Amino acid sequence: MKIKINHIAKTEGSAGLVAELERGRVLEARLLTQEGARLFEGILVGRHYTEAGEISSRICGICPVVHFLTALKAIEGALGVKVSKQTLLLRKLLMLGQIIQSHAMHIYFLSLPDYLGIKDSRKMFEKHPQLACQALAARDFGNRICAVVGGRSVHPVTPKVGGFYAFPASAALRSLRTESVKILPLIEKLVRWVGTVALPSLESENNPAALFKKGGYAICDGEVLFEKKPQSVAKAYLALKEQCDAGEMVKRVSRQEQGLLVGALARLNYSQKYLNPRAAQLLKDLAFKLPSQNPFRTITAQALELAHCVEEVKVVTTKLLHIDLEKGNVKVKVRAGEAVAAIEAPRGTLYHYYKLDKTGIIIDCNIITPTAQLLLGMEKDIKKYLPTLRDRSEAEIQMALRTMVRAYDPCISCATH
Amino acid sequence: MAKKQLRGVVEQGRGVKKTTAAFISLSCDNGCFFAALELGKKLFDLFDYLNVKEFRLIEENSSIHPQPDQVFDLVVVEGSVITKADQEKLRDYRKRAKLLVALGACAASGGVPALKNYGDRKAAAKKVYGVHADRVENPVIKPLRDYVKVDYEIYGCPIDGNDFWQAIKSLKAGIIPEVSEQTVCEECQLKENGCLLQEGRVCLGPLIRAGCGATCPSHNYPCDGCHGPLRDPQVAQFEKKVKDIISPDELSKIYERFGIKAKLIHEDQN
Repeated sequence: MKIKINHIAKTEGSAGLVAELERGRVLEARLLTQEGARLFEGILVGRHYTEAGEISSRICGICPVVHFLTALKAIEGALGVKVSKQTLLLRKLLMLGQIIQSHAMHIYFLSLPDYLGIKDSRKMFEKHPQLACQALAARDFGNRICAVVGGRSVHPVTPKVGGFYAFPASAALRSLRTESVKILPLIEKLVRWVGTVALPSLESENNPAALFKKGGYAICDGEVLFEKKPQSVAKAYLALKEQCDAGEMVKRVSRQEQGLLVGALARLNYSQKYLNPRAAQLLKDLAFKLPSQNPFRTITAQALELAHCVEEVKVVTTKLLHIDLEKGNVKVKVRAGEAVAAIEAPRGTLYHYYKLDKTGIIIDCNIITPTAQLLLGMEKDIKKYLPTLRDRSEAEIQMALRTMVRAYDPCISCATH
Repeated sequence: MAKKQLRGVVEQGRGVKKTTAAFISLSCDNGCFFAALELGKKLFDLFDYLNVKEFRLIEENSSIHPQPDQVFDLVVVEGSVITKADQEKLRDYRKRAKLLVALGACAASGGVPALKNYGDRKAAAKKVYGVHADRVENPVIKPLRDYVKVDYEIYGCPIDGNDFWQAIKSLKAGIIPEVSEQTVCEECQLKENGCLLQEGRVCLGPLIRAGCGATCPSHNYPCDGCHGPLRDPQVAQFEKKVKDIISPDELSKIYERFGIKAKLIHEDQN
């Protein structure tokens, strides 16, 4: 039986799926990306380092912030620039906004509707009005954080190598802090809602990989944990292999010939003990057993991260309110150098690598996105899941596969770039 | 009955047909539609007046049950034409649309993907795909109007949510909004921002069309033109003003960022 899905909607970017099932055996399961190659790495070579953040941000409309910040981190690594504590806090706040906004969008408007039998996510406002409005409010909060710190939520304006062009006013930070406290009960309701939804079971064999740092839930820094063993970002990056197949616009990334599990589930598996208090309580209440290798539980992990990040906004804004922000930038001296940096994007570990010449021109670069790391593993999981759908109709199988792909929160524009 | 449900019913009662629309994406980051979604509840209220039959970012009906003969009053397109499929899709939807709107810098001027036009496109593909570069579609990036008739363009990278909303309100009634010839400078002045040009920084404000709220200069980042040039930008005058603070080559690099260089250099050569 040949299955062909032309376009999987409600995902970032454009992809279809082909699969072939013969007598219960899966002969093929492959994601066919349709997104054109924009050649970002080719475009970046020859541009000045000051443009890396602005240009790479345009790789993705749902996670532009993480591309911008990872580019800056890598460039600063190459130039030997050490940013101030306040810059790190402001960037962390930006990342919290990014994750809150992205997770709220994915959980409640892209993935959960599948389990509620809703094909048009706008119907969420009809069928579950209170919860849909609350999810929108959560997303708006994330966007507002990005706008306060970054200037606007899609494609930030303020971050730069060494710091920021402009700083948020104390009043704005105070307002975010207050809101983070006020919105928490609403977030808890949203998280509990995810807990009530029956999700399919699948035991994925893919190895989780995520940033990890002792003492806190790692997002902006840390080492890479893979097979429970920590290693530097540089080592982890070099261990990744990008597979370029003829005619394919997306490269599949593997480590030791295997696909990876990256994203909220991987992060939670490793860092659950560093969840903020309310998120930790919710984890208990949901009775979500960790570690989990069930990719369908991505939305559960994302929901818990949503709560954690909202609590973390209060922590970070409180710290920032005690700092005189105007003094936070550091001087940048241009020199030749190269570095790789990683930040946990909503969908998983994002790597940016840059090599600069002595005038600051980018002479080499490479970007490895989380979704590119997920693809091989996702296809392997689909091969495992497909036989369990044997008794369903073709339409039901198609729907189950669409649901499955969406569960991973893939970002095809990022994967292709 | 909730107010907005009542409105819909009254409209139907009057025999007023809702404007049918499709929101489609070519090869892109989806940033412009995400920016539109930022309007949040406001956008969903817009869906009361606009029958958005196709919007694959948030609905799946149109891909599970595609309607080949469907026509639309309004089609809004974001992104760049990169693959043959992008081109076919664009031409197909143009045939089915009364009005077609190019949404965002990619659609309207080429945007960030157009940066490869100014360098060696083949080298860029080789860098990314190595020996497989020849198999990857790698056209010159052109605005949508180079492929099909475009009735209106909304610039920005991303578009400004309010810009979008105002335009859609007009377009849903079949009215093409007037294009302002105000500059970003005027928006900065209204906000009482300090002038970055006067501070000795290269800001393209005087050449670029207003409508973005001067977001970048308002945050101390000089405008680099994502909102598109005026119909008749005074480039020579501007270049004279900045000649002591930036070389022609470096200025040219700024013009390249959102794909608007051709319009500005051409004007200059006049």
